[in-house]
Amino acid sequence: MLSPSIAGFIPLPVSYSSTSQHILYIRPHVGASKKAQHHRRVWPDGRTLFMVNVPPDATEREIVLLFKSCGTVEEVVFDSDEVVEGDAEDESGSEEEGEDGKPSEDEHLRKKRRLVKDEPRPPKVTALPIPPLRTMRKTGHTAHVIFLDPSSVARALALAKPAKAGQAPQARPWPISDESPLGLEHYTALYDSLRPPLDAVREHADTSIGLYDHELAARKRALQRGSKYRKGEAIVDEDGFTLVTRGGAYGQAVGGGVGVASKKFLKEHGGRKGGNAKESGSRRTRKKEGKEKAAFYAFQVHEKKRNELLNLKKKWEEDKAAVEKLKSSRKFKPY
Amino acid sequence: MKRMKRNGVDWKEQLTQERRHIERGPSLRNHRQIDALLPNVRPKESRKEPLDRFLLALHTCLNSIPFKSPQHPLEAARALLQDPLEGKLKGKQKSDKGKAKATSVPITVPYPLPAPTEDANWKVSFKAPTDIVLAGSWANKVSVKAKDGEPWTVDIAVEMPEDLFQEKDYMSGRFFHKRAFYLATIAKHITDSKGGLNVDAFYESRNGDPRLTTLVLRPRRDGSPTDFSKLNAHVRIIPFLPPSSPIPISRLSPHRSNFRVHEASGSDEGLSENLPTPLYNTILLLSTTPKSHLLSVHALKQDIPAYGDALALLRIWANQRGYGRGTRMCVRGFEGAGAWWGSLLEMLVLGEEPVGLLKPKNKPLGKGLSSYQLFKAALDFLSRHDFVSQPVFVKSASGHRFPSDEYAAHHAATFVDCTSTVNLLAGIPETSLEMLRHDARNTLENLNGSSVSDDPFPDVFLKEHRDLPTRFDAVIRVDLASSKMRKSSVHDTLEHGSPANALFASISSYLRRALGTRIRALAILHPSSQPRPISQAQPSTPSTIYVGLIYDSANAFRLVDHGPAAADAETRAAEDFRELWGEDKAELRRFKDGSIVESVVWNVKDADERAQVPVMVVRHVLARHFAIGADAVQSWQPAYDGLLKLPQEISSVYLAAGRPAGFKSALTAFDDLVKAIKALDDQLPLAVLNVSPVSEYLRYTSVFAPVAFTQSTASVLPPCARYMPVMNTIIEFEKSARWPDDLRAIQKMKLAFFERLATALMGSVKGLTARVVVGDRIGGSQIVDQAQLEIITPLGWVFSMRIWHDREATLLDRIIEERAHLPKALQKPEEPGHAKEREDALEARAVYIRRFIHSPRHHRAIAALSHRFPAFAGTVRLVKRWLASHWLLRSHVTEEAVEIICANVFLGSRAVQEGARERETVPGSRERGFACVVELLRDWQWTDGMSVPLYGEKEVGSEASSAVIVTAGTKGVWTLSTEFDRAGHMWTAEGPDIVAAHRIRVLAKATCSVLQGMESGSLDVKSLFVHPVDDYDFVVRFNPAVLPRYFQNITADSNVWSRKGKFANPMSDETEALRPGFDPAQLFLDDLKRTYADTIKLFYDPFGGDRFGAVWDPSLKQSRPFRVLNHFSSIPVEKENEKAKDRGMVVLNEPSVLDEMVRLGSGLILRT
Repeated sequence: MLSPSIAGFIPLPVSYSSTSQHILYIRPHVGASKKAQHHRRVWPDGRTLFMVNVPPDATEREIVLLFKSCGTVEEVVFDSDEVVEGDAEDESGSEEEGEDGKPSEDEHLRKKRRLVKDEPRPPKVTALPIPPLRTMRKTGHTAHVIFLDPSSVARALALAKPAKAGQAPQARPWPISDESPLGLEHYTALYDSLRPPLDAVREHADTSIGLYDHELAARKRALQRGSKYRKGEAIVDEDGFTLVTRGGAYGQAVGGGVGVASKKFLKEHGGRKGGNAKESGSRRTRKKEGKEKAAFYAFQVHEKKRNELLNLKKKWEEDKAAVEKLKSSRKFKPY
Repeated sequence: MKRMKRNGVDWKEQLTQERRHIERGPSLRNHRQIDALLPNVRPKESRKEPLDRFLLALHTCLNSIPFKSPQHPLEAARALLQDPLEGKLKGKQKSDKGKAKATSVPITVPYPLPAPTEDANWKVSFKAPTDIVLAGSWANKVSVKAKDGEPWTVDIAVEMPEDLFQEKDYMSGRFFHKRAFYLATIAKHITDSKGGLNVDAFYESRNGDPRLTTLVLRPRRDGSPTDFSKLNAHVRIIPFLPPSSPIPISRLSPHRSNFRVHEASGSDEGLSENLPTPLYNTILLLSTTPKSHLLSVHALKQDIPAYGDALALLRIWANQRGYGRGTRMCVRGFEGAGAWWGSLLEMLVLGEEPVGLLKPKNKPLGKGLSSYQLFKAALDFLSRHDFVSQPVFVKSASGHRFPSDEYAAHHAATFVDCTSTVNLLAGIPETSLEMLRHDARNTLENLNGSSVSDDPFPDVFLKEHRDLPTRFDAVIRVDLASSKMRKSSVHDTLEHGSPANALFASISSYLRRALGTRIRALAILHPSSQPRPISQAQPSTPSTIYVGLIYDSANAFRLVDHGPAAADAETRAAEDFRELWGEDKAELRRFKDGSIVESVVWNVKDADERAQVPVMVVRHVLARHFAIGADAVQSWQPAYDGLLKLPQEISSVYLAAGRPAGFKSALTAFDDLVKAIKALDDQLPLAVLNVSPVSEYLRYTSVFAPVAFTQSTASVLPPCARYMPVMNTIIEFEKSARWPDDLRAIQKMKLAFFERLATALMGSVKGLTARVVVGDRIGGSQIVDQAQLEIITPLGWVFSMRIWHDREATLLDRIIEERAHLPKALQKPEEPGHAKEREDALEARAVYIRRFIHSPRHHRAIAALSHRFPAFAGTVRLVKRWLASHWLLRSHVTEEAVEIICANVFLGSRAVQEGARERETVPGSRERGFACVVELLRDWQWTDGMSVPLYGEKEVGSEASSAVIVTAGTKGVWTLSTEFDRAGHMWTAEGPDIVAAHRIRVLAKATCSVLQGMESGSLDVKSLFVHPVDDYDFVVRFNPAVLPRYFQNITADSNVWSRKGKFANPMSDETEALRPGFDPAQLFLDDLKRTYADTIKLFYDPFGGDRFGAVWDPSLKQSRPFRVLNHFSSIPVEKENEKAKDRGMVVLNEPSVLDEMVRLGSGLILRT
């Protein structure tokens, strides 16, 4: 018999076949009060259901079908699409649901932001034609189901209540949507969809690059608005030559023009990057090192000798130990 | 100064002392190991006591044997045989001992050939020995334990009284007959119940030569004081001639002819009378040496402190390699060659007897050398010396006894002992000596070449090297039952002592001549001779022998054997050539350079058959000269070849359609493609710098040779054989500043490039199809390289191309290192998603480094190895097949890791200097390579890692230090480091994990032991590749008919495709598009692996495996508290105690997971 509640969750059995039941753990969503941060997606209170152990191949449609009897589902969000695993690790089950990450739709958020601020409209990216295919998620992942109506949540929870007290709750069959294929068909469709027609690829690539160019321009504009410097922007004269000037403190020409790093910058920062910079940077210090004599004092000579001997002795002991070990493992019996 | 004093004088003294002690050099470790080793091969003192008592008893017993008056040899034999039962036979020797008891066995006199005839006019008799000596190694305490639990041998030499012999006894084996009778009489007396010795007597003939028959006494286990069975020894009685015997030594010099062939056919008789009988003479002379050898060894032991130990080392070494006694396969000719090993060392220290005026080439060594040094010197000598062209004479007190040039004329190989009477190498086939030289070279290479880290000691002394599959490139089992020599001569039979020995000698010399430079060494192997009951006169001979070949890969597979030129067609050389190969095989041919020479041509159809040419030569020679048919000759190579071939039905379809296949044509197709792309320069925005191959199909190491087919061929093929291999390549454009400076945009830019390239290629090459593949799966990291271009050439070759853009690495590094150098406190609160981005970047960088930096380099190195070692590619293919069929390849072991491990077998652990000879140990055939790799996998301690000089570069310097270690995860326990990848996890980061690594070792062990089945002829190669599935928690079956790779399955069932052919609708098949590289099972299993990463471990065969197995993570079977992020499908556990805990306990929901898998794989998985 299933316990009515487990760590605050209600187990909702769904049957896969006559012999096996899959358990969903559901709970009404509680507002993330403690760690609430501005960038996190806020789930509508009261009409959001939190689900744990969603089947790995579940689609939105299938979840909608599962809760059909409870009311209309507005949206299903699979958390694994958004949650950053590393961040979510410390969160324990009863405390809070796992949506620490940032919304991956930052793209559209960014777009929104830009729309407000900026004049030129960003080009729209033509998406690649991809049919509704299932995404395989990690087993035991979680999802948020947002209903249209708050009462649906209660009804969904009631699904897990046994018909009679003391009896196991009735398992509901897991709906399999025909919309997106499974198995062999799925893989065939996936294979084909990853090889779109060439013109679709071209369009997608062109528009994506367009968007990138647009974003680049927007970023530059934003920078320029804030400061008088034209950082990193090449000044090209009418003959096509690029102006090269001695740079500022960080090797970049703040006043515009392609910069050549200053000597001081090279000296200070050259050492950290790559091997060749090290040679030029630390020539002076190296010279100093070379001058020190290792065997100037007699005690140095003695110590050196003694160390050598100690090393030899150590090696000898090691050999001895190794042979002893082999001996004890009867490795010296040839046959 | 004060400092010194304070430290004290004793400190300094101690210092020098220790220093002297320690600084004996790097070989010190060896000396310690030797000290530990030697007690294990010496007899235990404590168990010798009963033996000593027994020897005393034996001594009295031997002395008490009564005189037997002379009688006719055959009569005497009959008397001995029938004696115990009916004692009434006429002329029976009257004995004063009662033989009433019927317990004594009938005794045959082991008369060697030619057996005495009725009209013999000489008599045999017996007289108690004049002297009884404990001889041989036991007496000198230099005996070394024999292999396979063979007993210690205690040699008792008994001196036969000189008055039993006459001057002419050297003729026609008369001496041996007298000796045989002498032995038989002793045997009779000892087995006699009244003799009082609690032993069983046997005859034993060394090397199966009846002239060398000795009497072997084995203790009965009865617990009496003289029962020495605990020692595991036997006593061997060897009769010998006193120095004062009437037989003149001068009649026994190598050129003398000492028997007349009586029964031979008329024409032979005149000839053979003059033929010298060097072997016969040598064996007779051996009867004079036991005592002098005993004394010389004793003197050596006194003289050279390390002699005993060095001899022990040498003999251990030899025993481990089958040069000695043993029940497993031993190299022919070396049993009972104890004196030879001892004399070898003697020669090294005392020097050689000068021949003529020439000074010996080898200077004598110092007497103070250590045992290890002596051992090494002996190996050095063996590895360099050719006993055939340079006879060796050990320094002798009395100078040469026989003219030294006689040996060269009549003996094949010569090594004359210190008494200057016996050639110790007589009777040892030349081929065996070549084998010995080869082994000595191997070991020396190992001793000199190994670095400090790996210790050669175990390999040299502790490891057994008699395993046929790892020792020989080709192993051929020959059943001798039907053998009949084409040119048998009575003389040869008599000279070699028995027909079998003559046969072996003849086989060895014919094979050697026929194989010529194809081989480095050849060995004829059989178990050493065993004692036989004293009722059996002639030694039993092995009915099967093994011929082992070690190829010289430069010549082994040539298709034509050239003989003498046509000009001297009538000369002896030409005759010999025709005699060797047969009139129908040898023919005159005219060659391109205009020469007309006798030649033999071997016809082969493909590369696989070409690899069999040496075996074909052996088969031909055996059939021609020894009437040994094809069914009596067994070799395993074709069975291995079959593993790498497609089923007949499928390959015939390719053949019929005329589709190009094979590595060579794939490489040509690749070159053509590169040319086509380079020709497009003006149509592309950037010039193409380079297109480099990174596919196993383009470096000869894929299990199956690549094939090309088009739509039309595909429609003929059943769906379970439509897999098209895809060959990966990498394209590099010239550098440009116009690439975007953003990772996501770069990926999009790649798409744009590919689109342009695809359009241009399709425009310029007719019939070519190019498609852009946008990624591997839906939803993955945005910044990792994912775009590919799939090109199907007009012929049907499929290439996949990726763009290498090195700016990506910089950008990824920037993300990863952005804030790494700042202290944590200074870092701004993380931006949302930054951690995720960093993680993605780490993964993307690992992919980038593996895909674009290491992969092409690895490809080049492996391709070079495939050219350098002919057997390398085949070995890799077999090993891959083996790992795949045991469900480990790709899911646990990457192809590249396999290639590196195989390279280790060929390269050793140390880079070879440029221009140096290839190592002797390099396998010359893929079967041997495979066996060596499996053995390596069995013995490899992966905790120690493995270092492979794959790139053959001495010092890589800065590049190596800046190489980035794969950080994506170090689940793998194998460390395979190369010059460019010191950390050694480039190809093993994802596995094998500890479970898989253990499994590989277990499988390797099992495979090795099955391979041993070669020695009994019962090896079924395919059984090595059949996977046991008992250890899996569950095994799921696929529907083979829908797997495009099913035809590659090792046990592919032809019903699957033939049934399809009949019932499937051909129309629907035709409309189906070609899907190169499409393998739904692989995609499905990849998904499973990702989805259930923490729940199960998957195992499957990537080559059309129709099943997969898995094991549950054992820790999930215990209940644990419920957590939101448990990462497995759980079911609540019923609580026993309601109050116990609030927290619900959950456990893995196995049936539901299984059902989920079936659902995910619907259409693929066979419902049960």
